[in-house]
Formats: sequence, C-alpha cells, structure tokens
Amino acid sequence: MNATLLIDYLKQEILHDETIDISSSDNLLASGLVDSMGIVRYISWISERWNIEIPPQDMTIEHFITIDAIVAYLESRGAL
Amino acid sequence: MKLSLTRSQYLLWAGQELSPDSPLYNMPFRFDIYGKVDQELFALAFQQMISESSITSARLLMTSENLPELYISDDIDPQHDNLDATQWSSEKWYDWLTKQNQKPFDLAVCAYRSYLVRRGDNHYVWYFNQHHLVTDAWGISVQYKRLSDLYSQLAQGKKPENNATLPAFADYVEHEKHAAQNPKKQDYWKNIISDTPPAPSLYNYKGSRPYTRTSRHGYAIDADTLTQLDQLCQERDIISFTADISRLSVFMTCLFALIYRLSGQEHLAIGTPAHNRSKPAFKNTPGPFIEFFPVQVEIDRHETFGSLYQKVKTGVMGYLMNSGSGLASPALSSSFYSVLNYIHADFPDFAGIATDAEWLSVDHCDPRHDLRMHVIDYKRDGQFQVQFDLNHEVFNSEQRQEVIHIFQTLLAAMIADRSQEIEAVPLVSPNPWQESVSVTSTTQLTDLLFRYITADNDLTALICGEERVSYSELYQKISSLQVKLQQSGVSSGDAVAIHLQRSVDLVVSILACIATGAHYVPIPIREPATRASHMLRDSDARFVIAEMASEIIKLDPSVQLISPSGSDSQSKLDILSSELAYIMYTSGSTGKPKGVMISRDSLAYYLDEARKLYSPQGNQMHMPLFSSVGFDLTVTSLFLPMTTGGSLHIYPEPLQGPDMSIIEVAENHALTAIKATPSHIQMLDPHWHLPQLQVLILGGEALSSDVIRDHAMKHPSLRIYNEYGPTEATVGCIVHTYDPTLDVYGDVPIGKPLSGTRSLIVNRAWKEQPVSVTGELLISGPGLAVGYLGDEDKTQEKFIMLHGTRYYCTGDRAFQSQSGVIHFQGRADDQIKIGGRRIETGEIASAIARMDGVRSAVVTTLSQQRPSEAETNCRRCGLPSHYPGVSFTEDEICSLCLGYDAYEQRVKGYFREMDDLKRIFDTTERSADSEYDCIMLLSGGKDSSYALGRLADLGIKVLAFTLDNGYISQEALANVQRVCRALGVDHVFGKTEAMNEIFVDSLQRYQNVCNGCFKTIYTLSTKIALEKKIPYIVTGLSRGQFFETRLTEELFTDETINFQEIDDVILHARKLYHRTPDAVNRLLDAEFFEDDEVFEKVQFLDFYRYCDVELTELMAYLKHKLPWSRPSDTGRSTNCLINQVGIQVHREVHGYSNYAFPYSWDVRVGHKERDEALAEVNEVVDDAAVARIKAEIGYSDHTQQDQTEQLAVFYTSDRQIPTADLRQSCREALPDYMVPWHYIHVPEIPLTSNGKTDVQKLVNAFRPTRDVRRSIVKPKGAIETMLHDIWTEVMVRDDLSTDDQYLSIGGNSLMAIRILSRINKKFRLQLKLHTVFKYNTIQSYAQHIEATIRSLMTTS
Repeated sequence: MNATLLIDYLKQEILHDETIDISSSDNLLASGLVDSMGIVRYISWISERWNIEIPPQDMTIEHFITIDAIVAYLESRGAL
Repeated sequence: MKLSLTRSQYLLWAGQELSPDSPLYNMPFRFDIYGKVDQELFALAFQQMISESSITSARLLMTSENLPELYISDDIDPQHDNLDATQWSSEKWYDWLTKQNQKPFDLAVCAYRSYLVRRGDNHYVWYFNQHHLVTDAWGISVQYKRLSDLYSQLAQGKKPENNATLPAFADYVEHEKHAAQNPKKQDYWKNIISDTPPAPSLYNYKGSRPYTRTSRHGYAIDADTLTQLDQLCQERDIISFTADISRLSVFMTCLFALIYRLSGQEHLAIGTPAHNRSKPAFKNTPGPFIEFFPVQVEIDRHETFGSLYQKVKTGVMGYLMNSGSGLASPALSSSFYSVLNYIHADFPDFAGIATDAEWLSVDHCDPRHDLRMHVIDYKRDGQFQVQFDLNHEVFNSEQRQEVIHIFQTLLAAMIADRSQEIEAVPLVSPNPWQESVSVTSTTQLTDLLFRYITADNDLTALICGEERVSYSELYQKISSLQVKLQQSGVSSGDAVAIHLQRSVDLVVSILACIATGAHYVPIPIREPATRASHMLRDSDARFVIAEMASEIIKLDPSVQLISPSGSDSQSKLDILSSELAYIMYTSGSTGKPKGVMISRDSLAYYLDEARKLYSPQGNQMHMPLFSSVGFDLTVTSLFLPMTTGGSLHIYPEPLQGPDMSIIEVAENHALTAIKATPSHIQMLDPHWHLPQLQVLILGGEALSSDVIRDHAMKHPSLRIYNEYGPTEATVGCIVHTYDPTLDVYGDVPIGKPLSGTRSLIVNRAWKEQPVSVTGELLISGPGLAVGYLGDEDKTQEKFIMLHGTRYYCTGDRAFQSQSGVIHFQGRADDQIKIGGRRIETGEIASAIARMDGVRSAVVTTLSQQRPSEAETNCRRCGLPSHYPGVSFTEDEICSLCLGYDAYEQRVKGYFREMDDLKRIFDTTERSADSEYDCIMLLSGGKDSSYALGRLADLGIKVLAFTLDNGYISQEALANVQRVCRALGVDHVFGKTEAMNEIFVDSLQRYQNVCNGCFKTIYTLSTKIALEKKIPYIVTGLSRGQFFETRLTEELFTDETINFQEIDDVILHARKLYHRTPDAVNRLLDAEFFEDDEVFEKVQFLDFYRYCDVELTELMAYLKHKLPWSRPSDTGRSTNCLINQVGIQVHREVHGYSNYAFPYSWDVRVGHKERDEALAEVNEVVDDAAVARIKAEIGYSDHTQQDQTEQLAVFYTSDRQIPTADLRQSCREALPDYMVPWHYIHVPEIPLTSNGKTDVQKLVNAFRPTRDVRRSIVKPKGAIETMLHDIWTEVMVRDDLSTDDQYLSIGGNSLMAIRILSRINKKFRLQLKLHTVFKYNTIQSYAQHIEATIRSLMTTS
C-alpha cells in the first residue's frame, strides 16, 4: 500500500513518466533513474507526506536506495 | 509577446546596469568541429533552432514605468554569419575571439551572435555568444544538441519537423510564479540569510570589490586523481545519493578549505547554482533557468577534511531540498563571495563529427565574486576539468597561479587522508634559506659599550639636569663602583638588581654591573611592591643597587643593598665577561611577570645592527633616556649613544603622578635621535622643533599611520623607523623605514628582519602561510633570548624548533607582502570574536580615529575582556587591587580603608548594643494570636547559629526559618536540626519549585547565586511572618554584608544624614527591591509586597548590627553552648554547595570572588582577620562539581556570554561628538558586525608604565549594563544638566536619558546616597534620601529641586 503510493508519486511527479515499470526492490539511484535534484525532491515530498523531519544525517543511500528501503526507513521512524 | 523577467533575470539585468560597459554576463562558447561542415545547411539548421528557442531572440525594453521587460517578436530574424579564417594567424584569430567575447550586447536589439568560422578544410568553429539574460550553460547544451540534430537531418536530406511541443521559456516564467510560493523553502533561506558570513579576506584583500576584471586558470584533473576521486566517492562516509552529489561535495569541501586557508575566516559561504529544470519538459527548453544558492559552513579548530565534508554534505542537502525557481533574491545572491559551478551541461560530437566544446572566458565576472570555480565534463566521459575565474582586484598574478596549485594540493590531501587536519596541509614548500644557518655576532658587548668610555675621553657622556659627566668621569665612576661591587662580593654570573631613578647613578650602575661580569635586573623605582618583590626573588638577585633610604630591602632582607655612590678609590676598570646581559621582566597576560634572560651576545648583536642602521655614517648619537628602564624599548636609548661616542640626556621620572618627560625631551635641541612609543609621540604637538634631530625610532606598539603622518609632514628630513621586537628577541629585530608616500593607511608595516634575523609566518599547525596570508610571526636569530628564568615549561612552549632552527613564537599576527615587508596585524589575543566572526580591533580604531575631531581611539569588548588578575591585595582589608572604582596607595592600602579611617567613629555610632535589640523586643507587644516574637533566618552556618542561640538566651520566642534550596550540605542541615532541638526553638523549612530558575536568573544578573537565594528567603519568610502575624524577621547578615547591600561610605561622610534617615533609605530600597521584576518576583507569589503596609507589619532586624562579637568568642560559644559542628562537606565560608558555582562564575566574569567586597568590610570593621578572609575568598572551587551543578540547574555559560558580548570604543576628542554621529560614521566605514555598540568618551587614554595603552584600566572603569541603542533625551536647563552630570558621574555611564527611571537603569540605594550628597552640596539643600526614589528621573528630580528652591525663597 505504502510502496504503491511511493512508486506512483515517483512515476508521476519525479520521473513524469507513468509507463516506467518500477518494482519496490529496484535500485533507484545506481541506474541513474532518479537524478540528484529528483531524489532530493522525492525525499522532500516523503517528509511532508508522512510528516517527519528527515535530518541530513539520515539522507543516506541505505535509506533511499529502493522503495523497500524507504518503507523500512519510514517504519524505523515510526511513521508507518 | 511580452514577458516579465524572472527573479534571476532581474538580478542579471540589475548587475549589468551596475557595470554597463562590462561584458561580465556574456557567455561565449566555441565548438571546434573537426570535419567538413556545409555552411548553407548549418545556417538553415541554425535558423530553425533559433526560431524554436524563442527566448534567444528576446529584446530587453523598458516599460513606461521604467521597468525592464522582454519582448519576443513573432517574426524571428536569425543573426548568423559565415567567416573564412583559414588564412588567419593564430594571433589574429585570438584577437578576433577576444573582441567577440568582450563586445557588449545591446540588449534592446539582440542578445546573441553566431558565426560559423572556417579555420581549415576539416576544421570549423561554431562561435556562439549569448547574454546570460537569455541562456544558461544547460540551455546552450540544449541549443547545441538541437542544432546538431537538425543539421544531421538536413544532411540526410530530411526536412526536420518543428519541435512545437517543447514548452517555451514563457511557460517557465508562469511556473516560477507558483513555484516560488513555498513558505518552508522561503523560511529556510530567510534563516540562512540571517547568518550571512562576512566577506573573507583572501590574501588579506579588504577592498570593496569594485571591478569585474578576472582571468581564467584551469587544469584537467589527471587520470590517477580521477580514479582516486571515484574511489573516494564510494567510501561509506562520503557516498551520497548520486556520484554527482558526492563529487560536488568533495570539490566544495576543498574549496571551503582553500578559502579558509587563504583568509583564516571560519564562517564561510559558497554560492552554487540550482538548475531549476525540475519538470522533465523544461529539460529541453533553452533559457536562463539557473539561480544561485549559498551553502554555509562553520569551520572548527582542528577541522579535518572528513569532518568538514560532513558539514558540506548537510549544507548541500539543505540546498538541494530547498532550492527552487523564483527564490533568488538580492540578499541571497549577495550572501557569498565565492562560487562553485558544477556544470551539468554536456556537448557530444556535432552531427557525428568529432567536436570539442569550450566555454570561453570573457575575463569579467560579477565584481562580488572573488573567485568562481567551474567543474566541467562536457563530454560526460568522467574527464573532469577544473577552472577558476579569479578577480584581479583580489588576486595578483602570482596568487592566481598559486590558487590553482593550492586547490590541487588540498584535493590531493583530502584524497590521500581525509582524517588529516585542513590546517596541517603544507601549502608552501619551505624556502631553502630556512635551513639552519648559524649566525653569531662577532662583536663583544663590552667592546661596543666601553669603546668610548676611557680614562682620557673628555667628550660629554651623560647629561642629567645641571649635571654633566664626561666619558673619562664616567670611566672613573664605573671603576670606583666596580671596586665596591667586587668588595661586596659581586662576581661574574651574578644577578644584580638595580632600583634607581633615571639618573647618572643608574647608568653608572648598569655599566658597572656589566663590567663586573654581572647581569642587571632593572626594577624601576615606581614598580609596585609585590611585583618588585617577585622580581627580586625570581631573579635570584643577591645584590640590589639602590639608595640607602630605599625600602626595597624590606621586601627581601636577605638581599645585600649597595648604594650607587662609588668609593673614592681611583682604579683601573676591569672588564669581565659573562653569559647574560640583563633579565627583563615582561608582564604575562596571566599570572606573574616572566624574567627574560638576554645574553650579552644578543644585546651586542642588536646594538651593532641598530648602530649600523640608525647611524650609518658612524655619527655620534645624542639620545634621551626618558622611558622606563624596566621596558626593553629603553635599552636602545640607554646604550646606543655610548656605542657612538654620543651623549645620553637623562630625564628622571617623577616619584608620583604621570611621567610626562617626553614633553621636556621635545624641547632638547641637542638631541639627534629619539626612541619612543607611538603613544609618546601622540602626546606631542607636531610643531616641535628639534633642529639636530635626524632619527626617530618608534617601537613598543603598533604604529598607526595616523599617528605619524603630521609629524612626518612637518619634519620631512627626519628619518622615521618603525622598530618591531618582543623582549624575547632583544628590543628590535624587524625594522621598517617609514615612507610617507606609501605608508598612508592603517598601521605602518614593521618591515624586514635585521640582517641575521629570520622570520616565519605560520598557521596554527605550524605550516608556513603563503605570501599575504596572515599567521603567527615566528622569529629566529642571534637576538633570541636564552629563555625564561626558572620556567623551563614556558621556555619550551614559546621557543620551539622548526626545520632545525630555534624560533620564538611571538603571539603576534602578521603577513608578509610580495616584497618581503612584514605587516603587523595585532596580537593574537587582540582578536575579538563576536558571533563567530573574527574582528581586528585595530581596524575599527583607525576608522574612528580618521573622523574629524577624534584624537585617538581604543577598541575592545567589554565582556570578553578577560578580567585582570589582582596585582596585589590591600594590606589592611585584603580587597583585590582591580576591584572597580577603588584606588591603591603606594604602600598598597585601598581607598576604602583610607576613607574608613576618617569616618570610623561614625560607623561605630551606627552599630548598637545587644541591649538595644532586647529593648526592641521588650517594647513590642506580641499580638494575642501570634506565637512568636520573631523569625530568625537560620542558614545553619556559624553566624546564624550563634545569633539564634543568643536570641534564645534573651528569652525571645523565635521561629527559625531555613530555605532548603536543594544544595544545603547534609551536615549543615543536621546542625540546623540539632541546634533548634537543643534550644527548644520551632523550625520550618521554606522551599520552592522555582529554585533552579531563580539560580540561573541570579547568575545571569549578578554572577552569583546568593542574590537570588536571599531574595527567595526574604520573600518566603515575609509570607510566613504575615500569615503568623510575626512582627520581626532577624537576619544573620555579617557587618561586611551590610556594606555590600545597604550602606555606603557617603552615609557616614555626609554629616547631615542621621541614622534614622539611613534606615528610611534602607526601607525604601527594600520596597523597591521586592518590586523589581526578576525571577523571584515573577515565579514566587510576591504580590503582597505591593502593599506598603507589609513593610510596617513585618520589619527586618540585622542581628549583627546589635552584636559585636570576636570570632574566637563566637566559636567558643558554638563549641560550649550549642551542638554545632563545622560542616566538612562544603567550603569554609558557606554551608551551601551551590555557592561555589556563583564564586566561579563571578571570578570568571569579574576576576574576583563575589565575597571579596563584603569580606573586605568584615575585615575593615574588625569582624574578620585579613588572612582568614583572603583564604576564604581565594578558596579553590571544585570545577567538576560546579559543572555538574550548572547542568542540574540548567545554566550555561553561553547564554550569559551572548547577552554581554559587545564591542566598545574608548576615544578622546577635541570637541563633543554626539554618539549617534560616531555610530553613523562607523556604519559608513565598517561592516555591520564591526560597528561598536558602546562609545565612551574619556579625557585621556591611560598608558601603562611602559608607555603602552592600558586597555584594562579603561575597561575596569566602565561596565555597561544595558542596550544603548535607544533614544536619549538630553538635559534641558541648568538644573537638569547639573543633575545629569551627577548621575553620570555616580553611575559611571555616558548614555543617560533624562527620562530614565532610576531603578531600571541599575540605580540602587548606595548610588542614591552618593547622588544625594552631591546634590545637597551643589545646590546647598538638605533634601532627603527617599526623594531620589520618589522623583525617579532626572526630569522629575529637577522639578522637585526647582519647587524646593521656590518654596525656600518664598518663605525667606
């Protein structure tokens, strides 16, 4: 449910391409799928959508490399 | 179509308007296409590309409201030409390029130009230059790729379709309007702007950045470095979301490191662009999208590349998260002075033909930007290049090369080991001359000094008043004193103290010591006794040459006193050698003076160099001896004349009062050279007339060009030298010849080292600073002292080995110019840091001193100024010598004790007998429903326990009250309970939740905890007294504490005041005290104090006003009559554990304990022994416990500092200058953070005995207590003016407004007494004390006086 929400927003608002097939375990960063500005805007949205502050020290590759990782991070922050 | 400008376009337009003739925003690109290009097809492709890129053809027009607007015509007429340059020399080609690059655009006509230039059969260059107003680098990449695509299609015979779906720039202009409406992002940038760092002074550049001229310097990063960089970006602590973010952050870290190393500034910002093509559709739209945003860091001491990277990463994340379209503003774009441009644009091959792209430099940039660094990878092959655009105002040609080298060095250092400190990276390879070269003076000191002192030289050697001594007479005097010295046992290697007024005897004594192989220790006659005694002991001098009547011998009876008058025997002078010449004491910034041991070789070296420099022809030098012999500056005057056969003119110092000998010196026509401090020269009118004077040597402190300018102008043939040298490097080691045409602004440089002396300027990690960068000045050479006497640790710390050479660390900040001239930049200690910004006080002082009417200025902070150490304590009462407002006599008696002698009897009259106390209770009817006669405030300490016992003895029914503040010692509490039980006294504890907050408030307001605690006690006990209808509260305050809180000397010197009035004043002050808003007033239920009747219902009695008991008697009573034992778990002066927090905070802020003053009164009135009081005052506090308690109550030193940290200027002037004018001028000349807060006019700048500015004395005389940035109502009329003067004098402040409420500006009852006694004297009135509180402003008091006078006149 949350994964779907994350993927939909990524496609619509960050990549502006709904035809792309993205699974929750796809590496968003290494493939160049999402660029620097994109990932940061994505994090910005996540922070607002789940109403949490994401401190800069949390902005690591581990937390945002896949949709699964993002879900895990949100869970660890008690946001889900 | 009309288009309004985006925020960033607007800024570009404004920038271009500011530099209308500069091509600073031209963006020329050249694309070298290595193959055949069809010119016609190319023109067709260009035509289509331009018509699709509507913004490119925009024209800038002004609206009727005179606002810029872009106009895009529907009929686009592409501007493109072909050019055949196959025959052009490369010189002609580059000339053409430069001309094209720099030719300004007429934006009203066309903002681009395009040429296809044929350079050869298979080499075409597309030259495309656009104004930044219509493009950015990404936009050019879009245009280039589209052009390439169109050309390919045309070449294949296709008719390319128009790219109509592409959003136009106009869409972005619309988009920007919405995108900018993001409060979160706006707040983020608002917050960043509020903490904008000042401009860093790269290479000490301090100008106003007026010019746009730059040049570009770059390099391609080599393959090895690129590989290592990639690896670095994969490291766990470095890796970021994308390789680009990691790389950007690494480059930014190194750029920050570079700016830091070249400026020394810790708070820094770098501007970096956001591409703003956030919607994919915009990715292919040409136009100027980018906006610049700052990333800020604060660099710490010991910052490593790794730790800085983490800060940069945080900043970069913040910038990425919060950047966006339309957020640019003038404030944001002027919040940085360096730019890092990590360019995303790429330029692949053109239509399949190998192509190189290059962004050409127009050699002009935004004048604000000291440097811009571009990171480019146009081919997207990972072959990064780094380019710097460097402003010519800031960087000279050597520095422009050096910057590239330094960046490479720092990048390599970060890659090699990011855990290393940024400071520790060597930027400059050590010069070969730094290798140790041993230079020793070949001249013997005694050869220099005694060359002319012979038995048959009749020239005049010394002149002192009427006394003239020839060289032959001097010879006789020295030899006869030598006999006496030797008879007294002085031999080679001995230390001999010399304690004489400046006189013939002084000079003879010094020379006799040297001849005898001893070294002299000068102790000026006006040296304070404690210091003199320290010098005697520390130097291990067994002999002192002084007048027979001198009291110096009392300081150390083991020293042998030798009178300077020689024996009558005629003998031959025997010249002996030894290691040392003298020991000179320098006042350390903390603690005791240090003895600097100067060898005979060092002194010989200095004198030899000085003689060659100041008397190059070998002329006789006739000099005055008028400065303190304890100051090494004076060594020049003392010895130089006799090394040249000249004469020494001696000016004895007065035994009291200021030493103004310089005035007489300036009238002595015989002088040829003078050595003085700049402060001395400042005392002189530049019109002095000394016809023989050839040389003026200035030393001892920084020489401001303002000080010397007039003197130099009036005396053009005078040779003026600025001589620099710490005592530890023998008088002078770096000298500058003043040049009135060059040394115009700021401080005069200190010049170049003497031959044989070497200097080194290093950073905190001992790495040499590049030319023009400030660091600590180190000195090496034959002048270096042997070390500090008896202080090996300090010697090791200040005299270090570096590159195999011994250096002295001067603690002075300096930089070296390209020509090798050294510029002094102030003491490291003089640097003030406010809000993280380093501030040079000298810079502010010279800005103020330039103002019309101002004579001199000294800048300091009033809070950060470390409190001075007490030089001594009053011999009678123990009060420290730096207690504000108190002066000391020569024999170290404080003015309070002296004053007390005069009114002691009256004070005694104020105190009463126990019978008086008993009578009060006897005559007070206890109300029927009250159980108690009084409340006794019982702390559990000895004084209050004794008082309770005595009250109980009197048969008074007491309720004992103790405040449990949470920090009363367990043993003290046990005492309280035992004592009350033994006496059968009821007892109650007071307590409040708000205690910690009260402590914090008290520490912040008064730097102690006691004030808050006392007020809590009074408030809680009064409440109980009211509830239980108890008429009296008895305190156990000591007599010393009365004087701290209630009494003042004026009460007793002013005989018109009777004791009843004193009590009235105290009562009145108490009312105001309880009604003053503070934490107690706010947090405790204290409303009942608003009712005046409370103070009648509950009265305070001070037990010790009625009881005069010796300590021994008190202790005996406690021992025999009460079960009281001395607590072992607290300090000796208290039973309260938190007390030491107050003591520590007070000592830190004021330099002395909060008990220093009340205890001095206890001693003065005979209630304490001096030694006992001093022991208590100086008791060591337990730092760990203090830190723990501070944390518990929530007090942090930081909050306290922030409140009080303020810049202040002390100045002297020819006329009255309104503070507002001074502040305004400062605002015009200085950045905001350097504009002083306080402007304090002083009649004169006090000097230390060595002739240097005495900053501490200024600071001690003034302590500000509030914001002065408010409107000040000036006094009107004679009465208000007189009152204003009195208030100003008593309250020691220069910013009083006639509508200031007495209490709100820190007035108290003590000051009220002082004020009233002055008013009564001045107006010949007998006004009552309470009137000061009743008519509580200058205005209302003036009216009161007027009314009083009028009524007196009518009655008479």
